[in-house]
Amino acid sequence: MEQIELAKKAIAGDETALLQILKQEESTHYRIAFSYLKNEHDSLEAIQEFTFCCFRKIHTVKQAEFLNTWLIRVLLNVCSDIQKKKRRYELRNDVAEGTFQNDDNHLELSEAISKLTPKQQQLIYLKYYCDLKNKEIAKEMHISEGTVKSRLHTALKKLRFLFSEGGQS
Amino acid sequence: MNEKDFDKLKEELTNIVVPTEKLASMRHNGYAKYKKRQKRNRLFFKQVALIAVVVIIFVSSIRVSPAFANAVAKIPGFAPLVEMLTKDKGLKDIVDNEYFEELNIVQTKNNITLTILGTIADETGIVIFYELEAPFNISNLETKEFQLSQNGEVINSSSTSGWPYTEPTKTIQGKLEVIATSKIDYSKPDFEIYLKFDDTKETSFTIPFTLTKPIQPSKVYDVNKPLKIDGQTIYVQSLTISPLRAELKLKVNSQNTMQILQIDHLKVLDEKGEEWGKVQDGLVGLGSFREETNSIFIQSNYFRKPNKITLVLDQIEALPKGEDYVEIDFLRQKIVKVPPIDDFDLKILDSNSIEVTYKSKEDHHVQLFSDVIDAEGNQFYHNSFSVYENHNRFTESSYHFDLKGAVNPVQIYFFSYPHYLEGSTKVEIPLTE
Repeated sequence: MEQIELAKKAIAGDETALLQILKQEESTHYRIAFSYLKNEHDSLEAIQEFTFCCFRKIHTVKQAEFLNTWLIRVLLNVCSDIQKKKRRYELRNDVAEGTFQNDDNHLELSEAISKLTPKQQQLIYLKYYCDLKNKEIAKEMHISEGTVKSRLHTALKKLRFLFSEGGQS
Repeated sequence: MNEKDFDKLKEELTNIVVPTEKLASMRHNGYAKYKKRQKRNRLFFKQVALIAVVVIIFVSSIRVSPAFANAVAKIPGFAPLVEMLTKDKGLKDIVDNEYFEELNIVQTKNNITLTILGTIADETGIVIFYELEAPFNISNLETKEFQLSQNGEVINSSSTSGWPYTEPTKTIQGKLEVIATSKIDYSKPDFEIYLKFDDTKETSFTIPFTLTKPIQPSKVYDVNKPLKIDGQTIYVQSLTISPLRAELKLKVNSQNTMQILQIDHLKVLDEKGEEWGKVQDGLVGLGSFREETNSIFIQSNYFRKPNKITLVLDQIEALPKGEDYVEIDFLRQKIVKVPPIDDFDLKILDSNSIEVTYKSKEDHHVQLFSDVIDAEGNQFYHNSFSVYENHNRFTESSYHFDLKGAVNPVQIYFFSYPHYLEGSTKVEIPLTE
């Protein structure tokens, strides 16, 4: 219950409380950023931008119970922005070098996950990394439990497809 | 794809080494960036048809003389006025002459209480003083929409809203400023304020009010005199004096070799040598020297009734014609042209905003840019700008443009830049009716 009190303080504008929460959750956040962006440099940049966004938008969080899932949503949005920027840059490098190499094979699954829509990614991380129950996810995302199930199903189906596609090439 | 795969994902994630120290420093940077942005003043405005000249002033501490304090003490709850009084002599006359109307209309929605404290109104516009209160921090609450209607019709105007609060707070006192594009008719003084905030519930207020006190009419003086400075000609067309502001209409000669942008120092002296300066904060003018209409607002001496005034124009900003714009391709994120000015740096932020850093002699808080012409000659405007803190006389500011439907590259015209004509000029204006 202490967590809830801290979250409430953070939402009310207590900056120290928010910093404390971000510190507590840093491993989870960093790992999600890393699995998305695949390197330390970009992941650290993501954490910086993410911290900035959190402070700017924390007042919009309605319920303290869902602060953690809100944080992950913000993080995934930031990661997706950074990747978009990076892609633009990589594309240009591509043309110059003529080749494109992907030497990460130890993160295949998260690689595939990063191709899902931000909403689907959030769902997967909440379910399988943060170990939330379908019911909890439903509450956070303001959708019914049934919708969570069906959306998870769609996301998994897409993942399976991405995997088989990856396997063929 | 099964549960085992996800166990593997979890394992993969857990195996990622977390650079704790670097993370602490990133968190610090992100927080520092937030604090820096927070320090800027926010001013939201919208413009209808005419370009609004907006100035953001940083007020860190307001020193109030006993005379001012006494004047304001007469009006309960008009705290935002204290700040305005220190910057505008005309407003002190307004208070001395009790030319304001108290309203104290209270409305509560979604736990936010809005009190309309009162107004100062004349034919040129209306200033509305208000207070916001909530049981939670509202320093980050931003105004999303504001409009003022009269008898069911929105008043065509330029308006500003916003407040300089940066620390968490549960009460805010601010002002809404409306400057009408054409004279406001007070024969039916029934108005309605519509105000919408950007909170998650998008709380909005609709508050009707009626003004009962008589409105003082504006006095118009035709001048039509040319002024010469540094080989350029400026025509003084007319002067309109109202309680809230005096409006000076100026026009430039199309044969000028320099594009005149703004007049930084402009003052009015009466026959006794008493001075009034430009309006310094918020909306300080309408139009520009590039357009048909160009009005500069001067602090009003309406209640003093001088017989004659002398107008002094100094520090006139100008850039050579043809070097008075930047050209940007937002689609390719490329800067096409920047005029060869020293200490000027431009960065493209995203698909419709830029950030500029430049050096100025003194604090320069007026917007640098205003209108945008796209590749097909269509005109667009910018709809917000913010100034960050100045460091070593360098000003950093960002501009957001409304570029829906614009064809790239676009030319963004300078509206102001601290580059001046040599010398100053003055003209006498008799004020006999």
